[in-house]
Amino acid sequence: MSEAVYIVNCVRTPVGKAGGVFKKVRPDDLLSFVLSSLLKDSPSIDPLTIDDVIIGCAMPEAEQGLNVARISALLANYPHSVPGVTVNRFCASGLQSIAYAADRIRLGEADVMVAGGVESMSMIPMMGHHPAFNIKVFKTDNVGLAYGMGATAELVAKKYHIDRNSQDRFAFESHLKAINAVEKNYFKDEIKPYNVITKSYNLELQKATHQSNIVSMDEGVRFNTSIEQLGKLNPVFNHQGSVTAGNSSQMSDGASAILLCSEKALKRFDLTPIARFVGYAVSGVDPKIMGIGPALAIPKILTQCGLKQHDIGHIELNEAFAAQSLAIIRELKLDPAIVNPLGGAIALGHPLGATGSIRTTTLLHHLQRTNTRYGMVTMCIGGGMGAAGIFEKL
Amino acid sequence: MKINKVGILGSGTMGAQIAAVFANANIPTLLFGFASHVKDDLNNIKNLKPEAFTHPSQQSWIYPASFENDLAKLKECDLVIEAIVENLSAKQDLFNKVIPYLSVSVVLSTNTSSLNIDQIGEDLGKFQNQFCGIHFFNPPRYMSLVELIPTKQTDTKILDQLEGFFTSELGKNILHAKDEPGFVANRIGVFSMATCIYHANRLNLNFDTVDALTGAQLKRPKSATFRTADLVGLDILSHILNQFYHMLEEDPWRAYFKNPQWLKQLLKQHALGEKTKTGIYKKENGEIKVYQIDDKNYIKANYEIDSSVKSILKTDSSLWIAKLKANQHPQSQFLYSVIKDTCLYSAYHLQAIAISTRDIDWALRWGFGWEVGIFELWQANGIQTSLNLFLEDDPDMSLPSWINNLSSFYTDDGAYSPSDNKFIPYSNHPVYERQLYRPSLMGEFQNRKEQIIFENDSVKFFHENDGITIFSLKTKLHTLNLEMIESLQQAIKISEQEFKAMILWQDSAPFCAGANLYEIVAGAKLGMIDHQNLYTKLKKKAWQLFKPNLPNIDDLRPINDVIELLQKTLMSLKYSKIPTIAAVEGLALGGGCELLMHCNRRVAHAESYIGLVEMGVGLIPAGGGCKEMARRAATRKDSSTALSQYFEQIGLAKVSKSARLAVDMGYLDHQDVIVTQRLELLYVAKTQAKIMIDGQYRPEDLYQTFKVGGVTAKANILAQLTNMKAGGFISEHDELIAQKIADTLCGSELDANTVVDSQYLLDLEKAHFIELLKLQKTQDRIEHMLIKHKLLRN
Repeated sequence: MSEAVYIVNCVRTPVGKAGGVFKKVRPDDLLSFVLSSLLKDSPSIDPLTIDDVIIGCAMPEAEQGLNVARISALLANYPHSVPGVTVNRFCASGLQSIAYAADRIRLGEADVMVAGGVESMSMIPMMGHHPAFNIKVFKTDNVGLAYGMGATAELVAKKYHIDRNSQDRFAFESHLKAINAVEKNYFKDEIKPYNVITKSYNLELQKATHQSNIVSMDEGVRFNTSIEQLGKLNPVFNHQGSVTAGNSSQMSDGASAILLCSEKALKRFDLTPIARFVGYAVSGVDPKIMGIGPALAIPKILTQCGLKQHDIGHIELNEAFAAQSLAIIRELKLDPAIVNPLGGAIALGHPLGATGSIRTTTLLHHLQRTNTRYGMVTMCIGGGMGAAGIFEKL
Repeated sequence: MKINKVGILGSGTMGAQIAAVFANANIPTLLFGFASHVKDDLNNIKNLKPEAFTHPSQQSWIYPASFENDLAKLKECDLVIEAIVENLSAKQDLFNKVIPYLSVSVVLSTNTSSLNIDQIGEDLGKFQNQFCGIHFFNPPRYMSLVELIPTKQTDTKILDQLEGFFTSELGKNILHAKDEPGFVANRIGVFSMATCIYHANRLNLNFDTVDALTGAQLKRPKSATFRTADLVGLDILSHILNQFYHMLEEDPWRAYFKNPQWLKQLLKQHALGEKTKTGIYKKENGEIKVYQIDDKNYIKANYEIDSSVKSILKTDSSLWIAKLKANQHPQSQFLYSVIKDTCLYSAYHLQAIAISTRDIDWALRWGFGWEVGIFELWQANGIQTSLNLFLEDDPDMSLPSWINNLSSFYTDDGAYSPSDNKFIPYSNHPVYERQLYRPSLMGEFQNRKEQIIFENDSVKFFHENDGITIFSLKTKLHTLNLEMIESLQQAIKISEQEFKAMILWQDSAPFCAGANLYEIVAGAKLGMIDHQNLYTKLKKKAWQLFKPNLPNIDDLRPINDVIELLQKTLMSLKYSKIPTIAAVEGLALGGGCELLMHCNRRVAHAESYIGLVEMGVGLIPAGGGCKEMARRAATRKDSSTALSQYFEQIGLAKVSKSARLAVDMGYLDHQDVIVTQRLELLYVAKTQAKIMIDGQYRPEDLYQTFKVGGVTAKANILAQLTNMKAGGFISEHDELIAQKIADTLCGSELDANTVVDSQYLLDLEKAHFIELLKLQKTQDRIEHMLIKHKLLRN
């Protein structure tokens, strides 16, 4: 017997390119901004009733280190009594946080939970500042743990026969779909514009300067890209390979927050939910071909929830690489028309630990917009895993 | 022959410390001891205070070896120094044991302070003429004096080789001594102590009174007579006195070396001085107490001197002898007797123990820290006049006849040598060609060829016809003042126009003890911080407190302007068209540290103690010190770690304990040169100048821009600081100062990694400095330092 879990609200920052608009914005500032926006949007909630803040982060160190969930909650003026925990499942961290938050409510042990994700790849690079591998990794068949993500994408491309042209075409379409979404203002409701204040120094005038820049759009969408341009790029991870910077996801900065409630809380605070959390599953594969992870996670979650593939009307499949995205679409025979209708990480960016909750936010808003019942968020995960979560529009 | 490897036989405290002297000069050294504890002995000296090593890593130059297993390794050594227990037969036995293992060309030596060198070396066979005595003083890292004592058979070439090596590579000052008890330095130095003990007893003076009389007032070390005895160890003092008493049977002053009753009593109580925390003095509840001979008790030491005696000691030392004799106060009679005895003792034994008067005077200066040698003092007071006064007391005194006709011990020709009956010049050993400014004793020949460009009360600016100017400070402790800053500005301009390089050099340590705090606090008291106020009567009264140490009140300028001028001047030092080189030794604190950091290169004596210590007086470095450290952190790969290290250094006013450690602290650069012989500083600085001139020197980094840590770095530092405050390690005022240091080092709250120019940080430095100076707590700190010479932690 489990309690129903409702999603009341979900917000996100625009996604910036690593080294782009948010390069000087601390991840805990991005996160505390969405955490406080979330409460502003649901003023009837008593913040003292929040049972926990669970935040996903893939490289939880330095500016997003210690316990960024707790720090950001306090910076967002959450009461001292509200705890916080940071969870890490690399690229699925933002989805994992929602699943953990939902589980607390499902068990009946919590009524109001905040989930979300944050990542600044401008400040904390892939692998963190001081990678330190265990030598045993190289002496077993787990050497895939040391593979760069691009190298795994090349292996997936080879194994599943995904050629360069298909990858470039997929990448190009991701941009086209994103451009379309931007033009139709689809992201307007989910994005909270962020005011970037820069305190710099003008060498000519010899004085300190303050600048303010309101960012309200995802930075990664390339409005002038073309299939030809994408075709000219050299492979990055294998000199004879097919994976390029153009058909891979972008390194990004961003944060997202999601408010989950029990039925009891809905009534108490007079809230209207936008969706119901249905289920979540995760599974493992050989780290060398980590990109194929969702091919296992998707069937697993469908079985778990008693749903069929055709029940799902919208899939947010994280485009870590065009190669692995295409491999999954082909392996599972997914309908390309329902996969990433607003574009994916190749165009919109992939702030690792934030991606899960950012794409959930996009999904839930679009389910409302299109009146679609079931939607899924899924992604591959470094270290050889796949995750998938299903939501039902209300 | 070059000395490439050294062997030290004996790993006791002295042996291991001698090994450290070589290790500090990067010379591979084998330290021999017994297998069971040689490694422990080596480890033990790591913890000595003051430190034996100039940097912890220097220890790696010492290889522990055992008498039992490793004697074959002695073959690799070019110099072997025996430093085991002071026992003739033990030393002879050891030499017999090691002889089969020595290299044929080895220089063999013994470190002893009391045994006869000839006797120690009588059975050395074919090594007889490669053997001599080498007498180090304790602690050997810090004591520059080394006595070389030949046997009758020592080859003079060996002595020359050692003199060159010890002087230039180890930075020691060499004295050639004869094989007499105590050689030169201890013979006269210990006698001087014995005469103090003797006359104090005779005139019934307290130990603390004697120390007040025989310390700084007499131009001798602050530890004076009995505090020195405590530091040396009363057991050791007793042993030395005994030895002299037994060895010097014919000495007319033999009775002085007898162990006094009180010393025996203290030894019985196991009051051995510093090492047992109780000796002639002991510290109780933060109070210094002194032993009373009569009731064998300790009472509070008061170090009182009679005012009449005090006023004599304040007069020129050339009047001391006559005035002290004329004053009947026991304290005056004590000083007169002590000086008289030391003069007569030195003259009496000169011919037997040394070559010229110079040897004894330098022995007292280098070995015992006297500011003026005994013959120098005698000559200043008039040799014959003083002698007549001495002879009045004891007309039958037997003295060498040469003294009767002498009017100087030192002339243009050199120092008096009784055996030659003439004035002999300094050694012409080639190593001294590297000592461009060789110190000389009163009126001895001068080897200076300086052409003065300008000179005033604060500085001397000159050149030596080689295209390189030399800027030298004349102020007390070489502090910075307004006149100095203005002069430096002018000197840079002149050097740029007419010369090829400029060197900042002082003829003696310290390099620079910081800014003249009198000028700063007087400016603050007069309300002349950021503008030229009209001073009121009240302020004028405050002014009186500092007047003796200041120029004319009308010459004072607002502190704000002085800081600006200092910054501008130091920036022009750094970015001048010609290379600027600092020759550093001893203290370089606060403004002194900023001065050397703004030179283009530094040549530093190994014993350089460098730090930005402004926080001790409630201020922050504002002469570009913070700016330089921020810039230096920015050039490092681990810039954020470096920045928090630099913050801690400045925030805790840390001072490097050596030049090598100053490199770790970022005050010296890796390309700076560290020299072991302070007298070669100018020579090496000129060599560096020539290298830079030949390399077509141009100032680097003309745009002076760099990245600051900004808001992220500041937050990290504040985290450190918050914990220091929460833990009660720092006061509220400390925290405020530290916050200002953090703000300056990080470039305030700009975005992380914002590119700024030097001026931005200089302005921050100045603003924070001025804010702090306006605070009462900071002014209190400065006054406390000036009046009590101690830090005030308010």
